[in-house]
Amino acid sequence: MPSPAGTFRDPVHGYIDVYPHERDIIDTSAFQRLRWIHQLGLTSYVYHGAEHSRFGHSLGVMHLAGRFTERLLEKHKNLVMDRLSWHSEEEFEQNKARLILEARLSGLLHDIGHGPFSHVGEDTLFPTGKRHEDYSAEIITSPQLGIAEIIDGQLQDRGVTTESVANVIRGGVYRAGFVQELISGPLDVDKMDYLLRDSLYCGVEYGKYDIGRLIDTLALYDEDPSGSLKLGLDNGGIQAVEGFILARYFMFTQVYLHDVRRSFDFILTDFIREFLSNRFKINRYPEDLKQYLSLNDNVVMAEAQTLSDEQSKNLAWRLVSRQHFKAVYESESHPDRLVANKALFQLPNAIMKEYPGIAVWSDRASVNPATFTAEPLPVRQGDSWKSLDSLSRVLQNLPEVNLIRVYADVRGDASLEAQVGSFCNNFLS
Amino acid sequence: MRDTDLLLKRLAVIQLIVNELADTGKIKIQKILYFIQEALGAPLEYRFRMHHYGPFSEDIESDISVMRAVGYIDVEADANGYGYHITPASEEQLPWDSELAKYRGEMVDAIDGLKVLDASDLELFATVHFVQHLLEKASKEDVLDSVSQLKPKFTKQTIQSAYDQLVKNKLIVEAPASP
Repeated sequence: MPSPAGTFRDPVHGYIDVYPHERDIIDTSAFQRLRWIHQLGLTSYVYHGAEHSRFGHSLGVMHLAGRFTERLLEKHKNLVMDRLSWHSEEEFEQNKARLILEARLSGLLHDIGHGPFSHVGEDTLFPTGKRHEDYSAEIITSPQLGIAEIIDGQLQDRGVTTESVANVIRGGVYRAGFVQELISGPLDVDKMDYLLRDSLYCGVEYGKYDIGRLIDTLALYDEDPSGSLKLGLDNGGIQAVEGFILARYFMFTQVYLHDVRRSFDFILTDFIREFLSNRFKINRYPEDLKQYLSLNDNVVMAEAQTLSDEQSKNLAWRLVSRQHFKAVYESESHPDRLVANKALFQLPNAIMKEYPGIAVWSDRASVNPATFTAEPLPVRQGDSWKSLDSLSRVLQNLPEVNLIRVYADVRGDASLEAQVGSFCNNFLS
Repeated sequence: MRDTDLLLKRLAVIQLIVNELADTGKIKIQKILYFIQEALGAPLEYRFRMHHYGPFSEDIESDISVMRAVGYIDVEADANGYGYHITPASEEQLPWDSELAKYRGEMVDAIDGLKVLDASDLELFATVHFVQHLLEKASKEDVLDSVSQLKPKFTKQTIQSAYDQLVKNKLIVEAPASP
């Protein structure tokens, strides 16, 4: 491994060493832009401490990606050598260093393609079929932005390529699939970092769990019929993963899905669309990387300051004055099926018909805090493996969160708000 | 109304798959939706990443949750803890808009062809398709090699056979051989 070129003092993980090529990447303008992208959109309008950015999160994910990869490779040395066809001690050491460097770079760069306010508008503002990971991969591989030159120039003799890092991030073909799973999967270092970081900055305790135990008990599952290695868990790690999943559950219900934060997500999405239309004459984010990278939270908020108009109560005014829409209907976290169906598919149109001229937003949030349902997490019990779902009573009883809300722009009219609210309740009863 | 139109399209197709398969699992739904979008071109706007079990979209997971929450499907954990039983739960059929309806016949044919495969075969078929599309200018041998690296316990012959089957069913166009 190269010698570290410097150290960052991170509020979550303590000292984080960076290697020379990582420092050079951090110093590019594309990476520095992450300082101006809030990690949690406008969650600071609810939890005022949530001013943290994608910059610190990216450093944290890099740090964890390296630690987990190193631990897994050391712990399962013989298995990995066999499955990945590494035939000597020297080959193991070289490939171990390569995978750690690639994992760290993937963690460092996985969010470099985020748009303003992170996940705001991801469903509707990105070009069709594209997500921030695609922008991340394009930014990394672009010959104009300097990152590819740093990776290929400084790491070629170690076997690390820009293309392999981009493949981990965009979910392309990458032979050591468990590294890809560590960067983006049910139990990935992205979630591990953001739960701890968001919890700290929001000033809540919900996102805490035992990360040291996770590092110690994460394992490689070797019995898949396809022969590829998958992340699994030692039996002693069950409680640590349960803690991680409960942390995620509480963070979703208390922070990420907070009604005021969601309301500002809608306001921001519509305002950014207007902004794009004015500036680029398009209603989705530009494909051109230089134009895309010119966008950040500060640029959007500066435009909002300029356009804010209290009299018309426009979106810009709402953003700078913290004037959000009210939820005129909110379901329970685990609603009755018939009510949920009606609320999602019929209520918004019924409101618009009854109160013409009122803008209505329909919000649905479906979150399964235990995301091992599609890809079960194997747990080693002696010589055999069982799925975590079958072993954990906590997971068996943890429900999905399905929250349905309807927001209406009642322009601050409390009486109208009460009328619409009561219309919703009558409609659904 | 925001993305409700897109959501309704996606849910209608998931309902069709669950109705056709009667009792299925999440991996099968993922892979069949993958082919419906990527091979037939249905406008569902899912973004697929390579995961351990082949191409995977997080949005499909979320849409399955919505389907359950609003009462169109039941999702029960399998007794052995690996996988789920997903079954129809409502007689009510979701509406199909005219754009999506154009694909319905092809979708039914594709589902009929794919439903006889088990989840592991579907995983291999979808992986071969994904790799072929990702490596646009690669030769057929390069595609087979890449799949073999990802799935080392599948024999070259099994992978080749999956590739040929995809070509035969017109789900991919055969790449040229190595020069």
